[in-house]
Amino acid sequence: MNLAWTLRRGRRGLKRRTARTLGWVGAFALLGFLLGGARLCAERARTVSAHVGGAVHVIAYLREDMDGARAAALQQLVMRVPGVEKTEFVDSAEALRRLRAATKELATAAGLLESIEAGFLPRSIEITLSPDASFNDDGRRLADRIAAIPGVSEVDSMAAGVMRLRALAGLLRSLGWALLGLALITGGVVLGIALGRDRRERVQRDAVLELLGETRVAIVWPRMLATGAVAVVGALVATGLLYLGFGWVDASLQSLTNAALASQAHAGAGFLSPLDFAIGTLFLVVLGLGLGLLFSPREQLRHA
Amino acid sequence: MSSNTDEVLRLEEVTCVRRDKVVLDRVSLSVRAGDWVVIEGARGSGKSLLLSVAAAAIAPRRGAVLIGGRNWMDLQASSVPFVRRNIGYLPAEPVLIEHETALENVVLPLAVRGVPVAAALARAEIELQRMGLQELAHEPVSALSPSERRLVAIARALIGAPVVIVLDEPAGGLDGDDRQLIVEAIGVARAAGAAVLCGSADAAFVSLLQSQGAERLTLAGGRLNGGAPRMVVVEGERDDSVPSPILKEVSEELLDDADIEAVIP
Repeated sequence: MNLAWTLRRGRRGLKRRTARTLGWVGAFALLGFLLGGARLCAERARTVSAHVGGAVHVIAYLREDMDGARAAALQQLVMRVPGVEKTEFVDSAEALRRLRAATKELATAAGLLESIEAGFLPRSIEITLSPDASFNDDGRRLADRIAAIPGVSEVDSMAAGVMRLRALAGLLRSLGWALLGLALITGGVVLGIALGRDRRERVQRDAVLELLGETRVAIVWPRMLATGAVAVVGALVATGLLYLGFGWVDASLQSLTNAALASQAHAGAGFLSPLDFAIGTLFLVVLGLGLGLLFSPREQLRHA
Repeated sequence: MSSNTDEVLRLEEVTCVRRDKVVLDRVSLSVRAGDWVVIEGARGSGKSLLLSVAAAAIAPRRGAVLIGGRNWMDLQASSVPFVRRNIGYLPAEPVLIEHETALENVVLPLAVRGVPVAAALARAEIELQRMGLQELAHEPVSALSPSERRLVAIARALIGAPVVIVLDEPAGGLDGDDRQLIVEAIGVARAAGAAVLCGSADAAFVSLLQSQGAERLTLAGGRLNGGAPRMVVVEGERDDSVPSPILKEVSEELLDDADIEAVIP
């Protein structure tokens, strides 16, 4: 059967079985959506985890009368405390610069900050705990110990925020696994439909075409072409749905965790990369081609 | 058995075994272009098996089946479809694509041969008209009665004037008018140069075919009786110098693609 006949038969088949074809597109779209969702969750979890690892967990504010040498000695002392990954000394000017940068978008606050002098904000030592530290316990214990050191006026433990971030990362991972599981189940269902519903029709059509002298290649390739095309359309639909929905899902997750740090962690998170899209589409197309090959006739003669 | 340039189908010492029982025992048969052979036999005599062997659908245990002078069993499995394209075959239980229309089913052999769409559809409509099914051309086969389905299957076997036409119980379940339609349609195919091989257990239908010039053979005990068929000339309609378009243009091209020798006489 040449291309003209193949296209004609494909067009007629599509017209005759519009609902079934749309069902196939929907199945591939759902599968792509779930896989893409799982990938997005994994990416978000990674971003949040990275933020947890690199975040400032404890801030020790220094008294105004503490001189530079003593502050440096205190920073060295804190570095020797078990569980501390790194420390950073922040002077008044840097603290003000950061405050201005953080409130840059607020027009009213920007006006207020103009009148603040460089030495107004306290100096501080920002402490990052090592990734294997227990943020809740170690952070609080460290805060208590640092608070007792002369020259430290106040200690702010960020443990609660860090814990929320960790919870968010865990939630994203769980969601990702759940979506992946759902994707596998959906794939199984798609395969089941192919095995069951279309089998009789497919076997009958192949038997007729074989009887009339159609070659195996000419029987199989239009079917593979059709299922591959359906898979591509499904992948595009899935990408569109993910693109429209991922912003809303991100906002919901931030709202759910109610963590300021969470929004910072999400700030750099983007949509699926072209590579992700290519791999996902390729997977769906390979699945589609595989379904197209199912129950294809084999070139063998019957003997009597 | 002597070779003949008009010979399109030849069975040599064909033996078939089914469930350890010899159904066809060294059967030989020669059919030439324009011949019309009807094989009569009781149920279970092996008619359908013989016809399916002649149609290149089943390979015999022993013997040779030459179509256009070449044993199709010597070909690679991937080349056999190109031989089948030259055979219009109606199995005892016709298989149609249920969800497609009568027209789409009938046009399929021409689609497989790559005949242009418009020309093929026009021929299919003519074939359906010949069978009195023009009103049902666009009905799905699943909506047709058993006799209408059989007529659709016969139209599919006859379309495009294949080199060999093999019909197994073409009149099964059909009434007198429909039988007459079949006989007339076969006559048209013969006029285009086709060799026709029919099988039937229906004595009345066999007699009808005989009255139209068919050679009658009897299959019993695994052997064919009645001698080799002779050339039958359809006066005023057959023109050997002008082969049908399918015979020369399409089939040769397809066989070239398959890298096998032509099965066309």
